[in-house]
Amino acid sequence: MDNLLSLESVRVELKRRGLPSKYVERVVGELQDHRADIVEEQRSTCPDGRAADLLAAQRLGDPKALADLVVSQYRARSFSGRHPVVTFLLAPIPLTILAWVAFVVICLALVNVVSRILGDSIVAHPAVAWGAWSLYYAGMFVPPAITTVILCRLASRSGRGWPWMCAACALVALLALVYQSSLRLPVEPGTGHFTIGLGLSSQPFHFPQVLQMLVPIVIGVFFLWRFQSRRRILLPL
Amino acid sequence: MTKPRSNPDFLNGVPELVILQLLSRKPMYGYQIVQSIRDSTDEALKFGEGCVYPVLHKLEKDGVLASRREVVNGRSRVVYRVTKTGNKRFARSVAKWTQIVQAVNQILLGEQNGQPSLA
Repeated sequence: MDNLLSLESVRVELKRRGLPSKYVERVVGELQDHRADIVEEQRSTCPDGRAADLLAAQRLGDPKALADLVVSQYRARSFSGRHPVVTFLLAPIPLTILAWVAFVVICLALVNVVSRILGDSIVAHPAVAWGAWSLYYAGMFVPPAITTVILCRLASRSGRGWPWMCAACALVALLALVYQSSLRLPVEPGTGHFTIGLGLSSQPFHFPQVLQMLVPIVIGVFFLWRFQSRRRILLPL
Repeated sequence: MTKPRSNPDFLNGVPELVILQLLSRKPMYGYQIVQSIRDSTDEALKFGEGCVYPVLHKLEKDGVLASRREVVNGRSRVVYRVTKTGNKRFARSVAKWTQIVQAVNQILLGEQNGQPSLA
């Protein structure tokens, strides 16, 4: 019974410290197999099942020390696990900027292709106008959303957990708050205008910018909820 | 009964070498690996046996080992085996370990360039 409790305490500790559930179950499963082998080994010399269980618990090692080793070895497996400061504090801002740049480049490539197909009639084409405004508004939300999802998944898979995830989301949200863009569709070829930059609007709580900030926050809250719900464990009575 | 004290020296790169050596002979699961270490060293290396699993998992993530759940003696166990990458890494680790042991032995055992050995 004590051994079962000590393995359960390992499971609880590993989940508390942010390791993915699938990996935690794998580790605990192998420890349970090992425990069974030790008990089987002791069966001939130690017919008392409880004594065999206690010996198995001792041989497996201190649950806290074991959990510490499992967590440190798991985190050492990935760059984000080994370098959380770089990944979750330094990288979010340049990553988000890179995401915006990539999005703009893709949009420009798309515009180039469409303009080659339609020629000068692109200016008056209603579907093109609709597409341009869709891409314009998507540019406000999609790049920071993608960056946030990537960072949240990294935090989860590297075993670094919710504090680093929240820090990364906060940084992306701050950057999203100060992202500004403007679009003026052309009335004649070559008269269109598209700008992006960083800055705070002169209007207090300029609505698009606050919405931009909310997207990474909502995504972060979703991942936090998912993380917390997976950590909830019913301990055996 | 006192708890066996984990040997902290065991956690400094030696486990990888020992595990690769054992698995290069034949595939094993965690309990077999620990038993082999105990038998081969006459229990000179003492450690919490559960510690072997995070080391195995890290080696697997590095591509040095591969694992599969198999039935062994009527029980389902996760069996580990060395990959080709693992064999190469093992050869490098052995060469490095031999170099280190020779260097340490030179300091501990003998005179070097007429200088007295360490007291």
